Amino acid sequence: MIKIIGPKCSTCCMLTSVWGIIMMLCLGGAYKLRSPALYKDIPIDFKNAALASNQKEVFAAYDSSGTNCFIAAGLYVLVLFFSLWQWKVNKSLQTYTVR
Amino acid sequence: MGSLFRSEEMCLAQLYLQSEAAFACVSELGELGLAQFRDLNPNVNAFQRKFVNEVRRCDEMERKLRFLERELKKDKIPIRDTGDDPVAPPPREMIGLEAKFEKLENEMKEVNTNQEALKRNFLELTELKHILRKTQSFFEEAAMYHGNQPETNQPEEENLLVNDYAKTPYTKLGFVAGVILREKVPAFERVLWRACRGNVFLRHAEIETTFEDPHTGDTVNKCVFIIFFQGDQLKTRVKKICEGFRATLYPCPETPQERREIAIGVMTRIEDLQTVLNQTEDHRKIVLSQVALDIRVWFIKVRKIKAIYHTLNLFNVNIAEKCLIAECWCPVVEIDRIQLALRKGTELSGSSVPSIMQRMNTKEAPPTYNRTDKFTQGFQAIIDAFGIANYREVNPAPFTIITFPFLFAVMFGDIGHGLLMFLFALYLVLSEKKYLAKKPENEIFEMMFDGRYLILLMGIFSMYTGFLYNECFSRSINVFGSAWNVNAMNDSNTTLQGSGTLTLDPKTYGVFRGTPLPYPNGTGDPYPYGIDPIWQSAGNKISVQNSYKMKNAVIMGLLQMIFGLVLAFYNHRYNKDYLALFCEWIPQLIFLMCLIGYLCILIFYKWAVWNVLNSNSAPSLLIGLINMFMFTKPTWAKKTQLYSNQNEVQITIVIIAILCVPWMLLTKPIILYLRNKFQGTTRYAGVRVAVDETSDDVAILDHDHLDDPETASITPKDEEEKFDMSEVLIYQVIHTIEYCLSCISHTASYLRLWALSLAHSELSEVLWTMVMHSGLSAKGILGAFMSFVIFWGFAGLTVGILLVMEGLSAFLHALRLHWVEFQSKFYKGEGYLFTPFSFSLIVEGRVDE
Repeated sequence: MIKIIGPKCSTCCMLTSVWGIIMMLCLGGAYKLRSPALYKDIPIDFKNAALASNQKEVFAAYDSSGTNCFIAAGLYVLVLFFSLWQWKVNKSLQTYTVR
Repeated sequence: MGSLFRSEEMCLAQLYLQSEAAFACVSELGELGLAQFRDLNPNVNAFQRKFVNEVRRCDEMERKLRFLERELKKDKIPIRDTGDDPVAPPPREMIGLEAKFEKLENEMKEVNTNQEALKRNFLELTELKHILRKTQSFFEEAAMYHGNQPETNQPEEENLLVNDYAKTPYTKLGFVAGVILREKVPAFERVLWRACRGNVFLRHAEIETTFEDPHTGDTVNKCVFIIFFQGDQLKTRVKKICEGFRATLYPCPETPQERREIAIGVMTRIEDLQTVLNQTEDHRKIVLSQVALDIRVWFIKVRKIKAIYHTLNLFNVNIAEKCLIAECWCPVVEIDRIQLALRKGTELSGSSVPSIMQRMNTKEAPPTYNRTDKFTQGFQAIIDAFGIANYREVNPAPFTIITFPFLFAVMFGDIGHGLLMFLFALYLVLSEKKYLAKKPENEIFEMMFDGRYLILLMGIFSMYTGFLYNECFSRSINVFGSAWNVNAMNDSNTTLQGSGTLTLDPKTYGVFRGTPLPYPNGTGDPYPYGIDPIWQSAGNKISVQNSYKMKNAVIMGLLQMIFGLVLAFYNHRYNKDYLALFCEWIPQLIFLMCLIGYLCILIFYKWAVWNVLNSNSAPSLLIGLINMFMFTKPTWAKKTQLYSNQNEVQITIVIIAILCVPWMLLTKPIILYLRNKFQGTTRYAGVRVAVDETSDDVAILDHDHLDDPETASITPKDEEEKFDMSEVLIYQVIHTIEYCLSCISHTASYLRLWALSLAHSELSEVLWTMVMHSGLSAKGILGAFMSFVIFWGFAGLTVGILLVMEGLSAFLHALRLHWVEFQSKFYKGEGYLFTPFSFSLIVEGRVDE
C-alpha cells in the first residue's frame, strides 16, 4: 500500500478515465463504422486529392484511427485501475488517521 | 390554483399570554415556526426591555459553551451529534445550567493554568538538560585542547607562551549559558560583538528537538549558547543583552562533577514532571470528553432560551392584568395549529387562564410566504433574489421550473455537455442526505448544492436541445439517417477530385428526400427530428443555423412575453383592478401582437409556404417589417411581397398599434380624474389598528373597540391619498413609453438566445478541431498515445471552459431573460419575506439574533 497521489487527484483521475474509456470506445466504434462526421479527423493528407479520393486509403486511415482509439481506451483502463487502487489506499489511510 | 401560484394568505393576530405561561407558549410557537412576531416597542432601547437580564445570562452561558467548544477543538475531540432536538427547558432550569457551566468553566480554566505552569516548568528543565549536554561538548573541546598541550614537543618558550595564552584566560574567564530562539541567533551574535567590542566569545549549537511554547502552543526551535567573557563589567553587559533578546539564562556549574550531578537531578525531576503532566492531561481529557457528550444539546437549549427571551422582549407588557400582548403574522390556514400550540404551552406551564388568540384587521401589507420544498426552493430563490413578490401576487417560480432550464438549454445545446452536467447534478441529488446532514464548507459548492435540482433539469434540457441541434461535443450523430443523398448529384470523378467543396442542390432529383413534388418518388420525409447531421460537414452550416436559431429566439421571446401578460391578467383579475385591465392590459396585448406577433406569424408563413423550389425569391422579413412601418408598398416584382393584399393588412395593423398608444396613455388618468371629481374621497377612510403606540392602554383600547368603526377611523394613521392628476399622468406617461420601447428592445434582447447558442457551438467546435483533432488524426501507434494524452487536455478544457464558464454565462443570460424580459410584464416584487420565529433556523445559526 503505497500512496502516490492524493485523494482528490485519484478521484479526478478516476472520473476522467471513466469518461475517457467511454468516449474513446464510442469514437473507436464510430471510426470503425466510418462515420462521415469524423472525416476531417482521419490521418490523411487532404491536399493530395488523389489520395483523399481513394476509398481504400480513406478506409485504411479510418481503421488506423479507430484502432488508436481502442488502444487509448485500454490505456485509460490502466489509469482507472491505478486510480481505483490509489483511491482505496487513500481511503484506508483516512480511516486510520481519524480513529 | 395550487399554493405555489400565489403566496399564502396571511393574517395579523393578537395574542394574550399570561405572564407565567408566556415562556412555554413562545417555546411551543418556536418549535412550530409559523408565526412572525412584530416588535411592539420599537422605541424602547435594547437595554430597557423587560427580559434583558435573562438575555444577558444566556449570552454568558453561550460564551462559556463557546470557550469549552474551543478547548474541544484544540484537543481535536469530536463533538457527539446524536441529532436529537431538545425542547427549551423551563426558566427554572436555567440556574442549574448556569451552575453547571460555571463549574465546568472554572475546572477547565484551573486545569489550563496548572497545565501551563507545569509545561513551563517542564520546558525550563528540558532547556537546562540541553544546556548541560551541549555545554559539555564546549567544555570538552576546551579541555581536550588544554590536555593536548603538554604532549606537543615544542620549544619551552613557545610552550610557555601558549600555556600563558591558553591557561590564564581559561581560569579567569567567566561564562553564562542559556537558550535563545533560533531565528534570533544572528542578530544576537552581532549585537554582542558590537556592544562588547569583540571581547566576548560566543558559541552556540542548535537543539535538534523542537519545543512547545506553553502559552501559545506553537512549536519553536531553540539554540543553546554559551558566552565567555572577562570581568564583571562585561558580565553585566552580556546579561543585559541576553535579557533584551529574551534569552533564558541558566546557572551552569564550572566543574564537570557538579554538572553531572545537576544533570542527574534534572533528569529525575523531568521524569517526575512528565508523570504529573500526563496525569493533568488525562484529567483534562476526561473533563472534555464528558463535555463533548452534551455540549451540542446544551448549545441548542441555551440558544432556544435566548431566542425565547428575545421574542418576549418584543411583546407589550401589561402590568395591571399580568399578561403579555403579542402581535404576529401567521398563515390563515395554520391558525388552528398555532392555537393548539398555545393551549399546549398553557397546559405545560400549569396556568389556569388560557392564552387568547384573536385576528385583527389591518391595512398594512402582510408578508409574503411561499411554501417551498427541497425541489422548489432553488427556483423560488431565483425569484426572491430579484425581489420578494407582493402579497398574493402571482409567483413566477412554478413556471420558472420549466422555462429557466429550457432557456438555459437553448443557449447550451449539446448532448455531451448536458450529460456531464446532468451526471454531476445527479450525484448531488443522490447524495443529498450526506450533504444535508453535514453542510459542505466550500461556499461555491454549497451554492451548487442548493441549486442541484435546477442543474439537474438544466442538464436534461441541454441534452434535449443538443439532440435538436444534433451536437455531441460538437459532432453530429446520424440517428434517423440523413435525408440527403450525395450520389444523386451524379458528379463525375474529375469534378470530385478537382474541387474542395461541391454543391448539393436539393432541386436535383433524389438529392433531398424532403423536396416536394413535381418529381415521382422524390417525396419522402426530411430528417424527422432535429437538424440533419449532414450540415456538420456543410460550408454554410453557420448561416443556415443562424437563420433558424434567430427566428426561434424571436418566437420563444414572443411566447414568453405573452405568457407574462397572461399572468398580468391574473394579477389584475385577482386585485379586481378592471381599470388597469381594460385601459392598460388590453392595449398592451394588442400592441405586442401587432408588432412582434405579426412578425412571428410571418415567420411561420414563410416556413410553410416557401420551399427549395422557390426559396431564391423569398422576401426578407426584417426589411419587410421596416417597410411596413414606413408604409412602403410591397410588390411581387421587387420580391418583397409575401401574400396578396399585404399592404392593406399591414397598414391596418400599424394604425391599430399606433391607436393603442393613446389608449394606454390617456384613458386611465382621465377615468381616474373623473371618478375623483364625482365621488369624493370618503371611501378612503379605513380601519387601522394602533400598533405603533408603545403605551399599554392604547393597545387594549384598540382591541376593545376593534369592531367599532367609529373608534377605528379616528386612529391617527389613516392613509388618505390626495388625488394628484399630474402625478398620475407622469406615472402613466413613463409606463407607456417604457412598455412601447420594451416591446422592441425585449424582443431584440431575446436574440441573445441565438447569440449564445452560436457562441457555444462554435467554441466546442474550436475545442474539437484544435485539441481533439490533433490527437485523433496522428498517424500510426503514436496516435494512440497522443489521443490518450490529449484527451486529458480536452476533458479539462471541456469542464473548465464549456461547462463552467459557458454554463455560467448561459445561466446569467437565462436569469436576465427571466428577471427583465419576462417578469417586467407582471411582477412588482415589492413585498417583504415572511420570517417566522422558528427554532430550527436559530439553532442552525442561520438567523442572527
